Amino acid sequence: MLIYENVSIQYDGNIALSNFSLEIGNKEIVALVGESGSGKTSAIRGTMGLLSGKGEIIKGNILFEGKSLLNRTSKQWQEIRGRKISMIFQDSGAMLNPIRTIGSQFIDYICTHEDMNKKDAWEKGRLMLEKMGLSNSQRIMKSYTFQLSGGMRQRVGIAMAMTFNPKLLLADEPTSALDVTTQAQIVKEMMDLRDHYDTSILIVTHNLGVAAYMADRILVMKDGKIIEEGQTEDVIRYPKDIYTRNLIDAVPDMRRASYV
Amino acid sequence: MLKKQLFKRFTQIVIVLLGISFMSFLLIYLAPGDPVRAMFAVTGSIPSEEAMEEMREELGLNKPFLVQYGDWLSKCLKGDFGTSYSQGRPVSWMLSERVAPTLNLALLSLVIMLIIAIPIGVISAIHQNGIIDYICRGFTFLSISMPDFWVGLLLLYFIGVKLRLLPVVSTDMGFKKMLLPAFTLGFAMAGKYARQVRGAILEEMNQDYVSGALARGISASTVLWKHIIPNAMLPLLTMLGLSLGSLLGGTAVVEIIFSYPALGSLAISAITSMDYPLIQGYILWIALIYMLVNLMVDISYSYLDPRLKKGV
Ligand SMILES: Nc1ncnc2c1ncn2[C@@H]1O[C@H](COP(=O)(O)OP(=O)(O)O)[C@@H](O)[C@H]1O
Ligand SMILES: [Mg+2]
Repeated sequence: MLIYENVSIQYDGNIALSNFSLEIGNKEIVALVGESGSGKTSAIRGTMGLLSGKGEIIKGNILFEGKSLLNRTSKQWQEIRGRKISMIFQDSGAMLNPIRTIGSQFIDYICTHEDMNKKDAWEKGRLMLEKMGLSNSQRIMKSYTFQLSGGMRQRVGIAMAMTFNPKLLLADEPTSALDVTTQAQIVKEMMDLRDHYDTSILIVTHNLGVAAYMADRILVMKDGKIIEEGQTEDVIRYPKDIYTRNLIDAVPDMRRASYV
Repeated sequence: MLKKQLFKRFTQIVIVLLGISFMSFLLIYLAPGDPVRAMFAVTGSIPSEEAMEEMREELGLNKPFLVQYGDWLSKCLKGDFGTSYSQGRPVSWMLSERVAPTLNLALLSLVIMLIIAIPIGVISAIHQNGIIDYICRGFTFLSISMPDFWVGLLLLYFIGVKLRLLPVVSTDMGFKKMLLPAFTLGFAMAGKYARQVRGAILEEMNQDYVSGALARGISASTVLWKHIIPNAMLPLLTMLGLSLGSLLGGTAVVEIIFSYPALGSLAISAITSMDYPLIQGYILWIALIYMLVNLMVDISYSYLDPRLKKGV
């Protein structure tokens, strides 16, 4: 469904991702792990045409449902972004305008993709929040991001991302800013998404525990390159690369795969 | 803003005004120069010593300092700021007849400034480091470096004298008379603001919520109009408040060039003629205006920025 063919990304002449190739199938969950600066965010943002700063894809191709995602017009992007492919971030709160209510931005989002009056859009948004286990949805719709806890903000982000039942969810460190308990809850909720919505997920994390728990396949990255990839079981039990082994050893109880 | 906080702010304003009134009274009391001599000098006559002494007696200038201050303050509270030495008219009249023209000129020049500065700042930011950005920055540089009296004289010459589009000198106090001075002031401020707008827009563009909105499929133009521009305007409010305060104090140079009778030229003439009551009245006006504008800015922030809703 999503295919990266030898994708290279650079910022102002500095390579951040080189010859990145990956294929994600329907309903598959793939994890990108690796230390900070290894190019994980660049890979995800490049997919959405949202590289920060002077970032550009200098080589390769990204195909979604058989069509290239490069050189899309803004109109074509609109059919993809937030509809067929959704994104969630490390801090979904920061991804919303701090001085406008969550509800008003939820409505804007829904009305961008669907011909709907504001009242219905509000209701649709509110129901999405409830589905993500946010019971006081009415109040949250009227809140500003700074009024919510990290876990609530992340649930709002996931609720928004799932509004249009996207084919693919790109999640960039979605649990890194959370405490361990909340992290475990959010990870479980994300796993449920695949069952409820048939969504494929590409999750970026530097936490191998999260990756091992969620993903069908794991890619380990270092310095913009994939240094190891395989089925989760194989990578965790029989890591080929010394770097991967070190990552695994850093997580207690990893080999028994008893995370969460 | 809560009622309690408003009350606190008003109390502060009163206390500061009292302090400023005392300081200004003290400074002028200690200042060199003899107001009585100055008064006679205006009329062109050379008075006898007795006449001057009589005058001092009449004005209460012989009384002890605190008594003089107390007299003056209690009158001020009744709205009587004394009589102008140089013109013999009540200070409160002289100030108040110039408040409306000053306010009109200030507001019009701010509006003109915003009309110039916001589009230039926004366009400049959108085309960051492109040709259009350089052209806009050229304008910014011009506006900042050209002194306002020069802009005023150029406008007078081209629009008033050469093209005869607007009156150069007229007694009519209408909108037309205000246009040239307001444009001069607006132009002079526009560069500074355009630069500020450009910076604020660029900063907003780098905020995460912009990527967030784009990732949700919101179009770039909607993000610009609905999020980036409004958010970028927020920090300008403080600057606008300062500009408004300073404009309401009068803009002597421009007022004199366009013979527009507002507070700035009045203040200059009060100082040159050592018209103490008028100077004091003017100082109080400035203090009051700055504090009121400041309060207005804070109140607006508490409405416009939800993060500050809980208090100022
Ligand atoms: N906006 C940017 N400008 C310049 N360099 C960047 C920018 N974003 C990322 N990089 C560089 O690209 C490399 C990969 O970064 P990133 O994709 O954020 O990695 P990760 O998400 O794994 O931490 C890093 O060396 C980083 O310094
Ligand atoms: Mg990252």
